[in-house]
This record gives sequence, structure tokens and C-alpha cells, in this order.
Amino acid sequence: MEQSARYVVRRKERTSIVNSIVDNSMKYLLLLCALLTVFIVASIIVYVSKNGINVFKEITVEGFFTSDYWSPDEGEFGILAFWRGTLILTLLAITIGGALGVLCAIYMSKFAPKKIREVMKFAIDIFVGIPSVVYGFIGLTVIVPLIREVFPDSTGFGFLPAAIILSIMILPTVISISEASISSVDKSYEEASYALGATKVQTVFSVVLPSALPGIITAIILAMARALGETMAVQMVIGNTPQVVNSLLEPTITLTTGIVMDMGSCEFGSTWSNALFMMATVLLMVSILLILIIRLIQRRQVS
Amino acid sequence: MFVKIKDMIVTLILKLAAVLVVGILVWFLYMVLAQGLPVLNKEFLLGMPKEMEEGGGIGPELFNTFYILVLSLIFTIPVGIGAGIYLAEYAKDNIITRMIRLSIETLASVPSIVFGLFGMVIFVIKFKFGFSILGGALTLSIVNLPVVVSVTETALREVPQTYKEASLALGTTKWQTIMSIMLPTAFHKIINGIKLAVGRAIGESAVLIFTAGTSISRNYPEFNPLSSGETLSVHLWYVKSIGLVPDAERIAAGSSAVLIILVLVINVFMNFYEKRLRLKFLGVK
Amino acid sequence: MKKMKRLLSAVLAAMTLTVSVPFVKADAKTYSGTIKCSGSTALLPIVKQAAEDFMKANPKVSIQVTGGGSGTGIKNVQDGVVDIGNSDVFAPEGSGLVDHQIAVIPFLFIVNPSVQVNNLTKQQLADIFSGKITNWKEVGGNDQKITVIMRQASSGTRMTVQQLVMGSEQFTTNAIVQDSNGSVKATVARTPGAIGYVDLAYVDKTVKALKYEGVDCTLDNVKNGKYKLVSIGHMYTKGQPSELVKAFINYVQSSTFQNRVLPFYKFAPVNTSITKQVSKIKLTTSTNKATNVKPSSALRKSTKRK
Repeated sequence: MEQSARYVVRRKERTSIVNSIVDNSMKYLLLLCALLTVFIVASIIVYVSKNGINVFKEITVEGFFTSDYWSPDEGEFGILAFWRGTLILTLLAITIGGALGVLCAIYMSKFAPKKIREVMKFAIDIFVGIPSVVYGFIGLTVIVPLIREVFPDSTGFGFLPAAIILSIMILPTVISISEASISSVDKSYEEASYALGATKVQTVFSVVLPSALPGIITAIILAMARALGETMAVQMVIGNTPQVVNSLLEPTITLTTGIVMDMGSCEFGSTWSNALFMMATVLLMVSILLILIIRLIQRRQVS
Repeated sequence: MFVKIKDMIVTLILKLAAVLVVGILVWFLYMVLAQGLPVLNKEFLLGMPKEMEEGGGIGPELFNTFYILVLSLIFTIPVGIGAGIYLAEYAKDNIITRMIRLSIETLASVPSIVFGLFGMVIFVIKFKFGFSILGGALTLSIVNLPVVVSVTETALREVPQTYKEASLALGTTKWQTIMSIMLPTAFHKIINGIKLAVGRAIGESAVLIFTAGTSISRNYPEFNPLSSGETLSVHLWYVKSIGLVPDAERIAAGSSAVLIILVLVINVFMNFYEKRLRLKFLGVK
Repeated sequence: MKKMKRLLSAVLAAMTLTVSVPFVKADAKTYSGTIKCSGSTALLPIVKQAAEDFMKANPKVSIQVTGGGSGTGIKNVQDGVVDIGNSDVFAPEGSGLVDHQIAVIPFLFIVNPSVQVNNLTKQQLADIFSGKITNWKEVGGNDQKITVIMRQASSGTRMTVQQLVMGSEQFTTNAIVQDSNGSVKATVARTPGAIGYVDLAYVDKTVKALKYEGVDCTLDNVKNGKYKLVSIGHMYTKGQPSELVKAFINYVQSSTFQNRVLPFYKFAPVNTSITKQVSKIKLTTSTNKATNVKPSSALRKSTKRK
């Protein structure tokens, strides 16, 4: 009797030792997974910037960033129009798509009847699967001509069609992630608010949304990332003209479309190719910067 | 009174947003399916593509799409969920964690073309895979990592604290708690991330042009992961912008429709699975 | 183990066979192995077709064809990632690559069907594409704004247009740029007053083909040297190609492929007089024309390191 009890204890000890080993090794395995992403990003940055940095052998740093004079034939590589285009387009897309998406997510999670919510959820999942090329061609064959009809003086290409297409493309990301985070806010908060006599709209906007904010911000960041990096669709409708414009209806260019147009065809290792790699580096830096800014805002709001 | 009017207006705005979003989607679906559905038949879905004559099919492309999708998920899901668990359960708020988070968010914003070139340099050239199904799948899995990681993390954080405490109080280890309580409870939400990844994998073209190539193997179906594997999206891009078949419009319309139906079917399947999971672990529908 | 041995002996037998019969006529021989090609998208359809034909004739051969652009093809073949790099521009000098010319690619200017003009001269085109002429009435058409659609700067066709049509003129910056023949055609077809250029194969009834200097772009006019707007398709190998790769290139250059298959795709055979007329159009950025300072350039800040 006593022996078997001791045996049980020993066995328990042994399993707990095994468990703690498993526990610890798992922790490191998981850390490894997480670090793998850091490693991948680091190697992408190193690879891209290593090629990109060579552009400064022939082009001045100041000229590269501040000049709008882009003419590879003449050996001129100023990317002002490109980064400006990316910045404006991303902000436009995030404003339109982000606002629409978050409103839609609020409706879905808090106002829609269950049936409608299910249908909408399903519909949004399908959205994701539409390939960029299809978005691009619909933009080129439907939206651009439409804009030209409304504004007969323009060519129809430019920020406007690109922003429309891009806002639609980021909708699924915005909606699905923010809907999930709004739905998962603790129900007791809501009930407490109702108990205090607040209406549904008041409850949602002053109780639910603030608690769901981190999730919504994540959704916006991921959507912004998608908008920054999207190429195929934007490329077909923005016009790809390396010029600085102050109108939504004139053809212009972004970093991604500038890269994708010439990257495959120009000579690797040439100043031109290096300039494109440097543009990719800039793009990475811009996205890191934007993410840091949003994180900072988020942190300030929490505290 | 004022509050009521305000409520009504806000509700109306929300409803309008939802109607607009669904309207846009229905319009897109109509544009794609109205042209594409009439094209679909057995010869188109299973037949070999043609360069010159009319009547080419998309059989090998469809197969390659599935093959690359599955291979890429085999890598993305364990690593992505693993990293998500780490961030949600183990990570302390220190510089390393912040680095990891920043990396994941940065990874999400890398433009497709850069992924494509990076994949080409690493997998196609360094690892000597050539323009291949494997090279494409591995590059694609990197593309999809961020979304799986962040969705997993969010899902795990949303598991009620009480579940976790109850499990730990029973003397289970952290790892056991994660595997037997946290992950199953959160899994129906993680599936949302996987859905996004599936959609991206099916729709991606820029990445695959530089890694999986634009031609198909002479064998069909070809299981050798080192053979080149043009997927359906790449094929769509090809016939739309480069291909010279006389019926390019027909093939493009059909391919777009197939892509959307594919996503539709996979989503129906996953939703069904998600519901069963929810029923099993949460006891709610 | 036994299996291994059998396999080994089979491989050895195959090797001795290939070594012992190197001088058999190409078509009598059965090849085996894999050929990888990448590069120019303009050449992709014909290379894919050639690969399909060659694989049909040689059941043990597998050919992988990938696009990616001329620069990608040349880089890949230099790195040894592919056996053949396809390009529609000449490889940079000193690259050490062996050039196999495989096709003449005719291209032409197309306009939106709303445009009343049928023919443009070299000078008129240069003026339109440099932005000096902005309305169709200046070249005999109706009063309609011209929208210029171009290919991206690294495209082989655009470099050819620069050399054959533009001369010392620079392309206007006020143009829509698309990066494939398909997109240029789609844009021209849907933009009133638009003009662009595409390879002959892509012209269909949605756009209107223009004569160049009064000459229609047809294969016959290309072959007899009347029509001058063409670029050359190349297959590049690193050093002399292996036997298998050589056999494939031989097939592409054979009269069967050149005279039967190429015309179907609206490409012209490579051994025509026009080939010699087309001067070298290189992948590298063209030399800076210091003598020719454009007013627009003068206003802009140079980015070059002094």
C-alpha cells in the first residue's frame, strides 16, 4: 500500500519533470517561430537595402529623395513623385476604406440581425479571394471610363480610381479583424451601460468601441500595410507617370508601381535597378515609420 | 428626443455603410460571374491550356493552385500559430517582443514584387529549387505569415481569463493549458486568419511569377514539387496581358469565376468546420 | 540494393549511349533532360509554344518557361539559374552571353477607334510622343485631345521606339504608362483620343491600327523590308549551349518553326533583311545626350553625383 503510494508520487514527479521540460522546450520552440519572422524581415531588409544602397554611388542622397526628376534614360533618379504618391494614396485608401470598413464592422457585430451578419461575414470572406488582377481590370475597364465621363477633362487615370480600388481591396481586412475584436468585447460592459440607461448607439460608441480599439487599430495597420504594398491593381489605374500632381485626376505614380514596372526588365546591378531596390527600401522604412506612429498614438491613448 | 434622433441617424449611417459594402461586393461578383459562369464546363476545368488555338482549359493551373496552397499552408500554419501563441502567452513587454511585433507588421506591408524577387534570390537561386512549386509555396507562406500570427494572437488574448486559470488550477502546465484549452477555444477565430491566407494564396500573382514560374509541367497532375507550377491567378494575368490565344477573354473570364468559386467553396467548408468546432468547445452555435 | 545497381547500370548505359552517338542527325535522336528558360514577356507566347512542340517530339524532355522580363532572363542565365535567357533587347556588352536570334517582332502604333487619322509619319509620331502635338487636329484629325499611352521605360519595345522613331527627342512625361501589351491595348481601346504602341500580335478590332510612313504593318511588309518598326527576339546562353539546349534552340531557329509557327503569332522569321537594319538596342540605360538639353530637364534638379 505504502509502496504503491510512493510509486504514484514518483510517477507524478516524473510526469511533472517531463511536463516542465516539454513546457520549457515548447516555449523556446514558439520563440523560435516568432524569431523566424524577425529573421525573414531582417533578411528582406538586408537584401533589398544592400542592393539599394549602391544607387548612392552615382546619385546624391538629397537628390534621390527630394528631386522629382526621374528619367532613367538620362541617368536621373529622383523619387519625390513616387513616395509622395504612395503616401497620399495610402492615406486616401485608409480614410475611405478604413472608415467604411469600421462602420460596416460596427453594424455587423452590434446592429445586424444574426442572419444578415452571417451572410455579410460570408460575403466578405469571398472578397478576399478576388485576385488583384481582376480588381485591376475592373478598375481599368469600368471605373476609369466612369471617372472620365464624370470629369470629361481628365484622362480618368490617377489617385481617384486607384484610391477607390484600393479602398475596396482593403475592406475585408478592415472588416473581418475589427468585427472580431468588437464582437469579443466583454458583454458585461455593455450590460452595465444599458443598466445606466444608455441607448444602444451610446453604449456601442462610448463603451464597446473604446475597448475594441486596439483590435481596430491592428485592423487598420494590416489594411494600411496591404495598401502600401499592393501593386498589380493600382498599377493598371494610376497612370504610372512619374510626376508630382496636386489633383486626384492626373496620372501619377507610387513606389510599388514604379518598382513593379521596371524591376523585372531593367538590367540587374545597374543604377536603375539599384534605384528601384532603394525605392523598395524606402517603402519598408515608410511602413515601419507609419506603424511606429500608430503604435505611439495607441500607447498615448491607453495611458 | 435629441438622443433618439441622433441614434436613428447613426444607425442609418451604419446601415448605409453595410449596404454599400455588400452592394460593391455583389456588383463585383456579378461582373465576374456573369461573364465567367457560361464558360465553365468539364473541358475547361480539366483540359490542358493552349497557346495558339481556341478551347484551352485550365486543368494543370487549377491543380497547381491547390498544390501550392496546401504546401504553403503546411509551413504557414504551424509557424504562424506558434509565433502567435508566443506573442499572446509568453512574450514579456520587452525590446525583443517589440521587435517581433514590428517585424510582423512590416512583413505585412512588403510589396508583392519584393517578396517575388526575394523568393527568387533565396529559393530559386540560393537553394537551387528553380522556378518551382516549392519555391512558390515557400515564398507564399512568408507572405501569409503576418496575418496568421496576428489573428492567432488576438484570438488567444480573447479567450476568457477564467478558462486559463481554471485549467492551471487543476495542475496542468502552461503548455498543456494552451494545447487543450486555449487553442481549441480560440481556434474558430484563428480559422478567420487562415481564410484570409487562403484567399491571398489563391489570388496572388506577382509573387508567383518570379518564383513558381509561368509554365506548367508536361505531366498532369504533376506532384514533383520541383517542377514549375503556373497557378490560376498567374495564368489569368498571363492571358490578360501577354497571352495570344484568340479566346483570351473567355479564358480570363472563366478563370476569374473559378477563382472566386474556389474561395467560396473553401469558405463554406471552413465555416462548417468552424461551427462544429465552436459547438464542440464552446457549446454555442 | 539490387534496384540501385540496376538503376546505376541503366544510367551508365544511357550515358555511354549519349557519348557514343553525338553525331546522329538531330531529329533522329531522342533527348532527355530539363531545359529552363526565363525572361522577356514579349517572347513568352512563342517560347511556350516552341517548348510545347519540342516536348511533344521528345517525350523525355521537360522545358520550363518563365516570364519576369528581359532583365530577369539575362540575370538568370548569367547566374546559371536558367539555361536560356529570353530577351527582346541586346544583352549588355561584356556580359559574355552567346546570342541566338530567334524572331523579329513587328510593332505598330494603335489608336482609339474614335480617332480619324489613319497614317502618321515618323516626325508626327515623335512630336506626339514628345508632347509637342497634343491635339489630333494638328495631324489632320478631328478636334480631340491626344492621350499618350506608353510602355514602361525598361520595355524593349519602348527602347526600340526611342531609337527608331524618337531619335534625340525625349518621351513626354505626361503620358499613361502600362507595363504589358495587353494593358496598353485595353487602355487605348477605352480611352477616347488615345494612342499607343503594341506588338502586331495584339492588334484586334477593339483598336485601330495606324500606318507608319504610309506603310501597313503586315508580315509581308516586314519581310520585304518596307515596314521598319521591329525589335529582335533573342535567346541568350551562358557560353555555348549544351547539346539538349542547342537542339531546342535549333528547333526554334528551324524553318518549320520560323516559317510555320512564327507567322501564326504575327512574328516574322529572323533571317530577313530587316534584322541587319535594326541597330543594337541595349538593355542598359542609353548614353546621356549632353548636347540635347530639354527645357523641362533644365528646370529640374539633377540627382547625379558630380
